[in-house]
Amino acid sequence: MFRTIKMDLYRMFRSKSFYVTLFITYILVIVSIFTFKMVLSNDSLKNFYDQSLEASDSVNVGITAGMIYIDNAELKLGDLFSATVGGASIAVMAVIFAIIFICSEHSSGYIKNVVSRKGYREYFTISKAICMAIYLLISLLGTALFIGISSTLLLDNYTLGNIGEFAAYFFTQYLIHYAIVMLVIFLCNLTRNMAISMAAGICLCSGMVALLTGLLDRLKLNIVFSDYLLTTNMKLLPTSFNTTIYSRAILVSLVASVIFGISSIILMRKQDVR
Amino acid sequence: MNDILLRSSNLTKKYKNHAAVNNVSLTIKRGDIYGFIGRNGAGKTTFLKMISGLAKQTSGNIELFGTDCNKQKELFSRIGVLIEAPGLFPNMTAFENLKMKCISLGIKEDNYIHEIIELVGLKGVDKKKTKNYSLGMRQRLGIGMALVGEPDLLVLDEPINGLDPQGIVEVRDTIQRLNKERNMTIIISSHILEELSKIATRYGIIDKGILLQELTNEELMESCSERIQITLSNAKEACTILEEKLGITDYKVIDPTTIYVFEQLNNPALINMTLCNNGVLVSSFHVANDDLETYFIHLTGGASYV
Repeated sequence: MFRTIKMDLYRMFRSKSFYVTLFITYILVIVSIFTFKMVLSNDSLKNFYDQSLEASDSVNVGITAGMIYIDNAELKLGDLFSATVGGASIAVMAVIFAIIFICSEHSSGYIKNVVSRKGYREYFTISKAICMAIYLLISLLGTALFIGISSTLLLDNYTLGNIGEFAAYFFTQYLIHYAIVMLVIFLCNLTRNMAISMAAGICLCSGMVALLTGLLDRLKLNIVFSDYLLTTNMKLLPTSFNTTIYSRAILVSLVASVIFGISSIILMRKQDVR
Repeated sequence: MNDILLRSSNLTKKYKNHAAVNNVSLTIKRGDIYGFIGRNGAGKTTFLKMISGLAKQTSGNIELFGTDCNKQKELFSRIGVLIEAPGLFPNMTAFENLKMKCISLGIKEDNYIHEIIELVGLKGVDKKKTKNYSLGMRQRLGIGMALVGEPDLLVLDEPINGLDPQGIVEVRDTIQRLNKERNMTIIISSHILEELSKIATRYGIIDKGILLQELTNEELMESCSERIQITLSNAKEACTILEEKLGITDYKVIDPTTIYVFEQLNNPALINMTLCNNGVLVSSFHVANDDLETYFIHLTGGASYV
């Protein structure tokens, strides 16, 4: 298994899509902070963005490079990070990279060279999962780092804030993003088609599934289905620690990761290589 | 050591109601260069995928190295595979593609990769991305990928497709060298029957998913060699006459009404006259000389193309 992981890591760090998606992620972060700076400097724009979003049960559909509600309060790392992550831009980049990385092994036919190796069909999913775990860590850590550096340079009222709270938020978002990627790995194994997987993955990150669960929620059963969606948890996770919300988010992420991981392994075992 | 490297028993693969491979039972012995012949859609690639572990059979059994593959799936690891188009990452170089496979097998020395590159004739272009390779270069690299890890059995599906004449000669030499020096057992499927006839030691001929015939090179040569083909009323009587009157002993009785004569080929009229004068009715008499392609076409029912 370690050899398979080593092989995939070798490929990951040599693939263009790895660097391109990370580059785009970090550029978006810098652009967000820079735009933020422009808003702070412009009173008319500041008034416009000072209108806060009303809290509601509905979920925003779409991808945003989000601004946050501001006044003269301190801008913490957690808040700025939350705005970026909640906008799903990191998730989208991770999904794009995952799909390119996984589907290319099928589409190029390279998998024929290695699939008959002992245990490869099981190790395929595990190895890709580990590679994506490393990618996500680099992506999210890099995002936090770039937010920190660019905010320090550009924003006057930026502070680090409560590190413990930020760590809890970071860890929970990491798990949620990881679960989304595991779902995408499953989709790739199921369809073995880059276009279908890409379309489905981007729709997922955009919150399209929330439209369906929103309809179910209107049935007024004693359960809010939207609360158990990965994208809902990703977008609405508060930066200040809340036991119920954080526990639910972590549980949903872990369950989703395990289910999609096992399903991927089963699919790989059963399918013929085309 | 078990002489039989691969044995398939009633191997079948069905896609919905269509049997792509239908009860194929064959054996491949250690040291064979096994030529797998069939037209497009005959089931060659499907069969090769099953024995390589890329596809699961619907029914039937595969024994590799004397052991049932269902019980020891790691046996597939001892097979080097080039099925259909070579599986290469286009944005990686030949060296990197080979390196990845070496990593998966635990091979650490870069010298080993350079040896493979040299063996398949890609020295000097190994740092080029494979998307910039010609078809022939990709085929060679595909063979190189199959060779990584010193497999005991090499499965090559149409390995000389797209190669120029020099490339074909080089691949042929490589295959023969691997077979001779490393005692590697090789299964090759090909449409270029003339090339196959130069290297294969045994043949399996498949059509519409069914294995029609297995024969050795000697048997094929015998079937294809120049001969006088005679259709007559009584083969047994004709043989006696040929022996007594003309001293012909090199002949073969195909069925009660057909014989092949392999000597005195420059004197067919004398043979015909002798048989007729001794009361044997001859209904058909001609000199035949099949090549592998003609033999294959006759066997598969007169296809207009291979």
